[in-house]
Formats: sequence, structure tokens, C-alpha cells
Amino acid sequence: MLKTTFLTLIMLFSLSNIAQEKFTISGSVKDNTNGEDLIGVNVLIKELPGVGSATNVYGYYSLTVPAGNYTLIYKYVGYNTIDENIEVSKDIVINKELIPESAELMEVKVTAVKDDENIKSNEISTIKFDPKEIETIPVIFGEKDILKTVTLLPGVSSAGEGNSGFFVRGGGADQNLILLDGALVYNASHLLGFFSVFNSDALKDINLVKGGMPAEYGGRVSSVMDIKMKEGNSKGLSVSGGIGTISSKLTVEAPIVKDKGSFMISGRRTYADIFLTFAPDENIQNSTLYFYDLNLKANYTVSEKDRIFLSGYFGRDRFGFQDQFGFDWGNATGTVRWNHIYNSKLFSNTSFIYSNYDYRINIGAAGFSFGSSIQDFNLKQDFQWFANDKHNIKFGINAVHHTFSPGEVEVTNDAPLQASEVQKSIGFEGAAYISDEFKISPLFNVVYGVRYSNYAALGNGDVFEYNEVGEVINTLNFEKGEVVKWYHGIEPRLATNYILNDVSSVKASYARNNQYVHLLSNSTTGSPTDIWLPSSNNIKPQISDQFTLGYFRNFKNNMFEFSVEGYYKTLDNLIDYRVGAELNFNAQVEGDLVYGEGRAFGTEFLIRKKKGDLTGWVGYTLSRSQRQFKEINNGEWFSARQDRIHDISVVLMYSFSERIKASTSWIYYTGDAVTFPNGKYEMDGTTYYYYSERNGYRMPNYHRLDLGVTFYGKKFKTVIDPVTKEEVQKEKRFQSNWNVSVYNAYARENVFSITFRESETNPGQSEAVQLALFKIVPAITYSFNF
Amino acid sequence: MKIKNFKTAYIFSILSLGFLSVSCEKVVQLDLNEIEETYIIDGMVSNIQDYNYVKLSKLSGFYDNQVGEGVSGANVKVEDEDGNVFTLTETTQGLYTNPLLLGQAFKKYNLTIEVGNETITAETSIPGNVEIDTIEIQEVTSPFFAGDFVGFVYWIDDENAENYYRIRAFENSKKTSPLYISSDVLYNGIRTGTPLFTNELYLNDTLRIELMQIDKQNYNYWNSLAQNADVQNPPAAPGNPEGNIVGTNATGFFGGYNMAIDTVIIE
Repeated sequence: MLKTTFLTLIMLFSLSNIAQEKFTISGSVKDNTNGEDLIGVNVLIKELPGVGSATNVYGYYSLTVPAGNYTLIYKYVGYNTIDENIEVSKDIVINKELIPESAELMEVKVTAVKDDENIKSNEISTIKFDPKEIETIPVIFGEKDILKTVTLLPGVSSAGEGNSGFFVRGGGADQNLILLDGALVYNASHLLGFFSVFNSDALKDINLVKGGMPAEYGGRVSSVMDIKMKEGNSKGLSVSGGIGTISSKLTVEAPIVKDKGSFMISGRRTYADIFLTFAPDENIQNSTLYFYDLNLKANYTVSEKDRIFLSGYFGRDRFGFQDQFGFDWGNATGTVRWNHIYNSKLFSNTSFIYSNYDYRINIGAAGFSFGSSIQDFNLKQDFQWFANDKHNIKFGINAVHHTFSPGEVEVTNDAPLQASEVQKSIGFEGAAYISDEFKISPLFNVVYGVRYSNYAALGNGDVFEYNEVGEVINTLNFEKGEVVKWYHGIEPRLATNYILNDVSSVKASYARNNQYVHLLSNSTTGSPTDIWLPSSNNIKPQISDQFTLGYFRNFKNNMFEFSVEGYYKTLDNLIDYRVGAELNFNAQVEGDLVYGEGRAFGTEFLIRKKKGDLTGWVGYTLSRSQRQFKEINNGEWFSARQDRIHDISVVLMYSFSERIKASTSWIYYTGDAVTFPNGKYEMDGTTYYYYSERNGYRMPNYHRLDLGVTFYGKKFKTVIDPVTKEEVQKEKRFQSNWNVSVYNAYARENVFSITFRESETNPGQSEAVQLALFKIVPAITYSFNF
Repeated sequence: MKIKNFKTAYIFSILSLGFLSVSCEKVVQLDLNEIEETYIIDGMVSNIQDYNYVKLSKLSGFYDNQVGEGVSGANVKVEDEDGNVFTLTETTQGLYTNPLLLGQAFKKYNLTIEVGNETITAETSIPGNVEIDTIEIQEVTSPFFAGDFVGFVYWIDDENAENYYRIRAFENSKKTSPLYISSDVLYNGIRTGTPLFTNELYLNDTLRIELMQIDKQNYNYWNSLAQNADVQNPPAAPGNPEGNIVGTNATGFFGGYNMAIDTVIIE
């Protein structure tokens, strides 16, 4: 398979290598106001329709043209287009800085860019966000959160009320590859899921791929969420911050050396614990409750061809009560990255990435503490070869060393327990990929590629084999580093776009993904104590195959974007649990697991308006997500918890004036599939409930309206031009806004959980009790930047 | 050792969010499927005279007014591994006993029930002895505890075996105990103990503690039940514990227990 792909590639190049003298124009494109790299800027040649390049995630572009005089066009949504006449008689480097439209005075608003990227690009099932675009959308507690906002789009659903976990196209919460500057984030939530670890102020670009993942991504079967942090302002000092109901945050950006290097440091901390000190109860006063995030990034241009980046994320949640009880968890990631331009056509990116997640629970009262962790060292080498005007090739390799520590216990001297540790699992995950974006004709392009991935579970002691009912039948001992089990697989990837006309296109994709690490979670909302387990002699890799077909159409001069996408996804080797499975601190946890398969299919409709005073979108998804396990429901297909058949979201943003912007969102979805008891019985004098089928019932349907309004301070001030003596509008350096929002505006009692108990008033009678977490939640946030 | 303290943190966080919002609880009526006729077996064979019995009842519908109504007229027999057969007779509705039946350590016991057209069987074993080493009572002042005191029970674990324990703790004259389940994964061969957090204790209360050594199957059964019964942190996919009952329409557990009993008064 690999071999044939390479051969095909070679053949394609020999065909297109015509013996005419050609030269390469390359360079980088940045934002003129802060020096941030611009991703996806179209660089086109007016005289050569169909020839062009787009900047990569580091703002680099390269295109190859025959010698001659040309008009080079740089265009990017939200920025003024630049046209430049050039003479090409040798390879040239042109670095450009684009000026954002908003920095111009109102009267000269330029709308030169034809906003039809959604039609022309071969990206399918992809959601792109600039954190700025979504900053006015109301969110719970006024805490901007990209993971929550992304669930307002078709195909992505929230893991629950106020929760930042998400499901993509019927997949599980652990099937999303969440990358922050390339580093894997294992647990993306704070405060038991109510907030994500991503502080919007520190972010530059978010890209969510629901299907047809490019070959450079792999390791999770349902989606890729690639988040890039800001690089830092290389033009001058800038400070932004916010004071909100839950947290405050501050971001400082500045050049290290102007136009050569910059840094960004952003911090956020919650302060619910400050209120605790006002509590009447002394015990509550002595409690700890907060989380924080710290994002750091620095970059430096060493030479014209070399650039170094350092980025890091540290975040932690802390709960505690005096010295009796403590619970804290968090992620730490670090990335060292080196961009190198070998020649005008070959761009290289080398990354060394560290990623860690751990939690620790300290029961001071009983003299012991326990915890679990996962640690990765990851080396990534990516190349982008701008081969010629028809081919843009990406290839690379990736090697990850995983250390999983499922649980260890520490004790103080007088504790009635022994320090102990569940054996660590060590694994090596490797991958190599190649893909080619091939412009077959101006109307038809294809991205095809293949990813080869493998996982070696490495020995480090005892390995168990289990029988049908999960009892250990054999114990094998492996030396450190010895291969216990090796899995590997070929993952073909394909995405095509056929442009029907100026305003419509048809796209299709196929992707296979293998997933070698799995999340064990026995709670419905996800918890910090959930455990990641690697594939082993018992746990096979999860595999997904997804086919997607989409039709894209723009209306009214690209004012409205419409798309409809259908998908069908199969999932193999999914994990579920035996009744009574003990997931924490269990060396033989694999005996408590059962394996099965899944299928998910659906259709997603989206109408989006991107221009004008009124912007927003309406999305509707009709879908199913089902599972089949031999041990569950007699082996029949049953609904996955996230089998939300109907999912509607409406998001509207209206700009009353430059100073007042309002927004609203309304969502509706079918209630989750859940398991309820239908009987009860008594054991040893206590009543227990009896369950007849898995996920045979439904939660009530969910719907909610959120409202928000943002008041901006005066953006411009009137000054007298010292030369012309005329009054001119000058942008103020200090900008600020107030955001007021209401979550769940019509106080719908959405059901968070339904639990069962004996009636207090009528003993012997059982009752079902529903819990609605939030009624109306108002919030106010003040933000500023200068 | 069961990791349950996450629950506390959970409640804690919900409480703190309560500063900003109001959560709302309400009883709802669910439309639930009919149940199938199922026998429930709750049996015990132990080294303590009063704790050798079989309770036979029927599964009730969720919204039924009562639970655990006994089933009369069954033939109930317990046979030990030496071939001694004990016929249990009905003393009160659904409760079957035989004063001659007294469990012994390291022995296996087989249960056979004939009821209606059904034959139900189960097999269990009684592990070795365990003694209560000490009972400690600590005064607590923390929002996590309902009572003023917490009891701790200590015992010495046998190093040469995998040991499993179940503890019952009764305040005053209470007939039911919270469910405490423990295995020696974290304390093999040492003096160990566990806090009895769920018992609500006040000054002058009497606390009766029954420490029981059980086999692995018994541990798994009660552990599963405990998970399902955990209201604060319910399992994502609750189900019925497997148990050791063999029969087409029957569930429950017939367990062997080696018990030690002690009582303290909180002064």
C-alpha cells in the first residue's frame, strides 16, 4: 500500500515536470499590528488563474511560476488585500504584513476579499474558529470557552449541562485528539468539567476536524481539535485582561527583539475560594477551591531560515479542606519547536513535546494519599514540500514514548495501609505519513495520503491473560523493554473537492484512524480520576472508518454559506465495562472490560451568515450512534449515551453599533440514552434497584436560550492633526468592554441527572428524582486591552 | 480500599457553585417497563448461630409499595462439602432457617431451592478467621460528616492469602447497616483499618461492629451493589451484579461469612 502510494506520487511528478524555467516565490505573511503569523492567507497570481498557495500554520508560503512579470495578490478574510507587481527572474523571498480591516477608519472599509473559502478549499467536516469571532457568544458564568462554543455547531455535542467535554459525530469523549501547540491534552477540563483548560485570551486559532482528517493527524478515532496559542506581539507591548464572575485573567505580549522575536504570557485564576472566606461556617472558610491556567509562549527568528518556538501550558485544580482532604489535578505541556526552511520549496518543522496529566487525592484524615499519571515524550518531524503548482506534499514521522501510571498510594507512618503501586505500563507509539494536495484541474482537487501507525506495549513486569468472564488464567512476565504486543495499521486518507461553479461545490472524504490509548471512565460526565490505559495483549486498538459526502453552496455574493454533509462511521474494538468493574487502583482492570463495536451516521445542515450587522448560524443534525457488545443487552444494538437524534443550534450576533453588540444562542437536543431501573429488591435489609436493559430510556429533551450583550468603550478619539489642523479620528490605545450575559434565560429545568431513592414521606415507596443544576445564571465580565 | 472520596469533592464543588446559581431537585414520574417474575435470594452461612438463613423474595416493580415480600412454600436445603444436608424450614414468611446449620471456616456450602417449577442453586465458601483488633472513636467537626463522631475498626490481615472483607456497623438498635467492602490490595499482612464514615454517631450511641471475612465472589457481588447504590457518583452504566445464583429467573447472593463481633459505647 505504502509502496504504491510512493510510486503514484513519483509518476505524478514526472508528468508535471515540464522543461520550462520556473522560479519560486516564498516568504511569510504576518499581521501588521502585532506580528502574529497569519494562517491560510491566499497568495495568488492574477495572470495565472488556478496558481496559488496558502500560508501554512507558521505563515509560510511558497509557489512556483514560470519567469515573467506578475501581479501577486495576498488576500485574507478580515484583512486588506495587497496587490503587488513583481518580476520573477530568479527565486525570490517576499515577506508581507497585512493590515486588519478594523484598524482602518470606518469609511474606507474594504471588502475586496471574496469570502468563498468554504467552496474552494478541499476541507470537509472542518470547523475553524478565531477566538475573536466568538467572543460575544454568551457562555455560562461569562467564561469564554472554545470547547463549549464549538458544541454549537452541527456534529459536535456537549457532554452535558455546563460541561466542556464534547462528542463528535457520535464518538466518545476520549476519541477527540486535543492538541495545544502540538501537545496532547489528556484532560481538557477544570472543576469537574464546567470549564475547559483553554483560556481564550491565549489562543490564536482553533481547527476542529470531524471527518476526513489530514494524514498528519492520528491517534484518535473521532476528531482532531488543533489549538494554536498566540505567538506574542512582536511590534510592541500589549496587555489584555478580564475580570469576570468566576475568574480573572491577564495576558501580556511583547517583543523580545522587535520584529524578530516575541513572547506571550497569559494567566487565569478562579476566585470562588475568596468567597469561601466570607462563609459563616468556619469549616468552609478553611477550604481550598480554585483552578488556574498559565500559558507561555516565546518565539525568536534566529535567521532568515530558522525560527525557534517555546511554548508551555500549566494548569491545575485544587480542592481541599484543612489538612484532612485534598484533591488536585492538572496538565502540564511543553513544546520546543524549530522551523527551518531548507530551500524555498521545503519547509521543515521539528518538535519535541512533553505532556503530563496527573491527579492526587490526599486523605490527610486517614493518613494516606493516592494518585495516577500519564506522561508522554513526543518527537515530531514534519516536512512540507511545495513541489510545484499542482502538488503540495506533506510528510513526516512521529514517535511517542508513553508512561501510564494507573495508580499509586503513599501513606504516612501511622496509616493502616501500605504504600503500593499498580504496575506502570510503558508504550511506544510511532507513525509516518505522507499526503499530497493535488490540484488536478482548477475545479477539481484531491488530498490523498496515508498514515502508518504502530504501537508497542512494552514489558515491565506481569502481564495477565483472562478468560471469557474476566478471570486471570495466565500470568506472563516480561523484562523491561521487551515487546508484549505490537499493533500496527495503515490509515488511508482522502478528501476531494469538485467545484461545480463559483458558488457551489461537492466534497467527499474517507479516513481511517487507529487509537492506541483508551479512557476508562465510570461516570457520565467524565472525572479527573478517569484513567487512560494503553492497548495491550487484551485491549486492541480502536479503529474507525468514516465516509463523508457534502454539498456546499453560497448565496447572495457569499453572504450566506450553506452546507449539508452526510457521514457514516464504523468503530471497532470499543471498550465497555462489566457490571461492578473496579476501574481505579486495579492491577487486573483489563479483566473488567468488554469489547464491542459501534456505528454512527447522520446528516448535518448548516446555514451561516458571516457578513453584515447580523451574523450567526443555524445548524441541524439528524444522527444516530449505536453500540453492540456481546455481553450487553443480549448482544443487540443499543443506543450510545450520546445518541442525540435531533440537535439544533441557533446562534445570532447583532451589531447595533460599534459600541453595542448583542448575541443569543438557542439549543435543543434529544435527551441522552440512559439506563433506569424498573424493579427493586431487598438484600440484607436494604433496597437495591434492578435494571433490565442498557440505555433503554431517555432523559428529557434539552433546550436552552442564552443571551448576551457587550458594551464597548469608545474606540476612537478625536484629535487635531498637527499638520493639517483638521479633526481626525484616532484609535484609542486603551480599549475596554463590559459583557453581560444570561445563561438559560427562560429558566428551563434541564435535567442533569435522575437518581433513585426511597421516599422520605412514604417509606417503602421508591421515587425518581431529577436534578437541574442551573436555572438562570447571570454573569458580568469586564475586559480590556492596551 | 475503595476510592470513593471523589464523591466528597463532587458535592463540595456543587456546593460552591451554589454561590452563583440554584440547583433544583424534583420528584418525577417515569414510564418504566414491566418487570419479569424473578426470585431474589439473600442467603448467609456463617460461624454465628443467628446468621445462618436464606431469605426468598420476589422482585418488585420500581413503583410498587413494598419490597422484599417473602415467598413461602419453598424447599430449601444447604449441603456442606462433607455431604451433611440441612433442610431449612420457614420461620417467618420467606425466611428459611435450621438451628443445626452452623458454618465452619474453610468449608464450601451448596444451596438448593425448589420453588414453583424452578430449581435454584448456589455455591459459596467460608474463609478463615478474622478478629477485631480495636475500635476507635474520633470526634469530628467537618462539613463532610453528618454525625459528631466517626468510628474506625482495626484488624490484622493475613499475609499469606488474598483477603476480602465486609463490615456491618449498626448504631443503637438499627437493623440495617451501610455497606462497607474492602480488599487487602493496599494492606496485605499488616494491621489495618477502615473509617466507618457513613454511620452517623452521637454521644452515648452504641455501635455494634461485625467484621466479616468473605471470598472474592462475595466481595465482587457486594462491591457491584455498592457501586449501583452510590447516588452521588452513580456508574455510567448501572447493571445487576452477577452473584452466584444459578437459575433461570433468579438473582441475589448466597454467601459464606467468617464473622467477629464487638460493640462500643461512645462516651
